[in-house]
Amino acid sequence: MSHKNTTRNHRSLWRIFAAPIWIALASLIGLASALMGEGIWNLLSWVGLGVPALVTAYTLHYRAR
Amino acid sequence: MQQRTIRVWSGIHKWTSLICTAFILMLCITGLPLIFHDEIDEALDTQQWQPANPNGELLPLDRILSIALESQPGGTPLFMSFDKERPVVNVTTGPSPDAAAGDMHFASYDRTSGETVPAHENGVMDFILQLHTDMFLGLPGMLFLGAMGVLLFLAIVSGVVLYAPFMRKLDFGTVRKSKTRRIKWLDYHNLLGVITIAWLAVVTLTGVVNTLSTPILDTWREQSLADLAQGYDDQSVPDPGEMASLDSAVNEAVKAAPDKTLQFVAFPGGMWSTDFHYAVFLHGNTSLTQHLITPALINARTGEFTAMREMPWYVKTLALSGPLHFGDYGGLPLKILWAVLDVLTIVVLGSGLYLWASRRRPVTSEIRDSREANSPSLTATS
Repeated sequence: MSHKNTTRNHRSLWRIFAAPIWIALASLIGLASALMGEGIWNLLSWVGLGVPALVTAYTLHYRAR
Repeated sequence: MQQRTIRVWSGIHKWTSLICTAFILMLCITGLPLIFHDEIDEALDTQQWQPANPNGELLPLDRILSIALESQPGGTPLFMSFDKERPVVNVTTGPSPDAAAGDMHFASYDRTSGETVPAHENGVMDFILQLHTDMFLGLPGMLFLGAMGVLLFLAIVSGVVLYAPFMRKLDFGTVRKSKTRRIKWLDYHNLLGVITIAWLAVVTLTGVVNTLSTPILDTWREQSLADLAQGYDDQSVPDPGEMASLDSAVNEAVKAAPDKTLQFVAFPGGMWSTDFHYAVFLHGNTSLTQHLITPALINARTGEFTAMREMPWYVKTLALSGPLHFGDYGGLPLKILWAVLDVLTIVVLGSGLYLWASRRRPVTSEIRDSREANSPSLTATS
């Protein structure tokens, strides 16, 4: 039983992982930046780690069907 | 992806998760209040402490040390640390230089008077911290939780691999609430899991590194300090009475590193020094280097400056794993985000458990069901 990936409605790996990769990058920048300094660096860390939190709120509010 | 490959990854995901979930849930739940440790302590600390002589002269460290030792007859000094914003010195003593954490005694002293400073008495938070660190089982408990962390990391990696076949026909962020309860929770599990992944991977791996602190420090002593312990073969760890002045030892250390700030002193014979030296630890003054400590080793009998040793990479990794695990390095907003991501992780764990408990069919049929639920007009692809 072989499994074909080429069916018309299938999404490419890139399309599946594009959003998760951007969220992960934002998270990692957030995690690292607060180590770098105070002030603007802290702000950047809140924005960076705010991304996964806001994406969660957004998807749960608008994408649940 | 081949069905066989999917089944293998699914097996990895299932078993690593099943073994660690109960412990990781405990860590997530106990970790939640620990994020706000400082805020909780501060809120419970009703009396505003003031030094006895705010403008008075500071007592010598040797004087504070002898006061601390008098209050703990037969005790040996282990650590002395210094508060940042108040003239307070904290002294940890124990029955022997290599005393276990549970046998240590901690007291704070006003450097302007030598009187004790009332401690933050918070039994509940101490209990939670101990449960979170080693479940009251000491080093074996700590290493066990580290192993659970490794399993969680494997569960995260296998979860990412399995995310792809489940999402072949779905857009990012889809939650099919109108389908079966199982489909709905599958979507929540996949979505919240993939959103929190980078944060959870970092908190997991830094947690694992923290559980390795004892072996890491043992390695450091054996590799970096071994040569300093040479030539003392006939000597034992000095008694408090045999030790040279602590004040002059600290002065020597500060003189050797004028660009650094004093953090704590480790006494001879413990985890953080050789059997024969005071290890005076200093930290840098930039945001990054303030987490990194460097010891100056001072001969504890003669008071002679011996060496300043930069920490090897694995101790630096341990040092940076602290803040990256605790989330206490970027103000209150970072702590709140830490708590939000922690709660999302609890949902991922809980939904994973539900998906396992309500399972009926192999993962490959599950993926097919999921796809069919999404687009009933399409036939199965296998």
